[in-house]
Amino acid sequence: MDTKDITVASLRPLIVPFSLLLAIIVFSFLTIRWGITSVFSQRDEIRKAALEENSLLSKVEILRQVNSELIPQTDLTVSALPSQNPALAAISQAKLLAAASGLTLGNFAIGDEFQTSEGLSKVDVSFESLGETKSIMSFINDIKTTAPLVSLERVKINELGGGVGRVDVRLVVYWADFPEKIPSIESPISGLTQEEKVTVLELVSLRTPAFTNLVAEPPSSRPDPFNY
Amino acid sequence: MKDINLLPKEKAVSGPTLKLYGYIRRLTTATLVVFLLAALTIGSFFVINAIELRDVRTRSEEYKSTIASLETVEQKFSLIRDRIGKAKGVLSKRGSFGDVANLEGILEEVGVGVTLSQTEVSNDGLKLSATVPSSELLARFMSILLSSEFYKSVSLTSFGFNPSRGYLVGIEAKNN
Repeated sequence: MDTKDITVASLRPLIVPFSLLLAIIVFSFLTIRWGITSVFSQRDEIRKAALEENSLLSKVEILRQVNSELIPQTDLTVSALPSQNPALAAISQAKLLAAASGLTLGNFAIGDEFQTSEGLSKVDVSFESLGETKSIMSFINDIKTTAPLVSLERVKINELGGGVGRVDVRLVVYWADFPEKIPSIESPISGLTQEEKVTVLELVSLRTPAFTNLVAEPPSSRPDPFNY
Repeated sequence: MKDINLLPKEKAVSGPTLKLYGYIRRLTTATLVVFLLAALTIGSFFVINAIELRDVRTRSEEYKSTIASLETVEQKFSLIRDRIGKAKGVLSKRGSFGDVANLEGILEEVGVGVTLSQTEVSNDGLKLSATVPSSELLARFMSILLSSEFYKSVSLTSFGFNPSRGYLVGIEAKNN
């Protein structure tokens, strides 16, 4: 048989099977390519979902740990830096400390409220006292161990003789609004850094005031003084 | 007996064409087999991945509902974190308390003798007026003040002498 025996006419019967083969190859190629793309796309989705899962798991673990270790101290941290003007609480604390040091405070004055650039509000509280200079110094040192947080703007001690002095104290009392935005469930959180833990320890070690908010007493019945 | 081919010669398929047809048929079969194997493999991966994705999403939903149940904890944690951040600013402003404590320590170290007539502590530092009975005690007082790491600069703002009371000095110590 010679190749010249292969003519166009003799190849005509092969058109259908060849077309079928071509169609099967193209179909297979496209289907397999689509399948592989879908599988890779699924792997991508699994990777993203796994990342989200890890983030959520980490958040659950942190919240559980925080729930047992830190949440009981929420009130203490809030009393250190409350959401409302704590000037009266600061004065109450100063009076208690002064009494313990044998001092009496007077001439209280509360200044105007100011906002700072760090999101804090502050007010000046000033007062005077008379007593032993050593007791005065000890009293001033003790102020920093009380809540709410205060800073010492100015202290002026005038010696009157015999170890007795008169002191003018101006403190700055701070407070800050509570955050308004609640984090979303999906947003990740991290545990406290070492520096933050130290700050928390410092805040919870402060002596809390006897009150944080003064609540007006409700009306009560007055006993009849003539009823014996 | 000789094979009798009843097909007319002009309608018979030639040898090479038949050979080609055989190749095409084998190729088609092979392609179909490969396609089926690939489809089966890819299909298996697809199903395994779908199951894994469903499991991961199910666990994520469980964690989300756990987090939702701990919403109060998260809010309190955010509050504590907020307080810590803002308290840091206040704690950095409490240096003046250190001035008073430091002064107390210095006076204890100097011992009896130095009488402070006026002391002023502010955010800038310390200003004091003191009466010191002797030059040795004054030198000791100044030396302790100067060697204190708390103050960046110590200056004598006034100096006087009273025969009955001793040396009257004004001192300014800055910590920034």
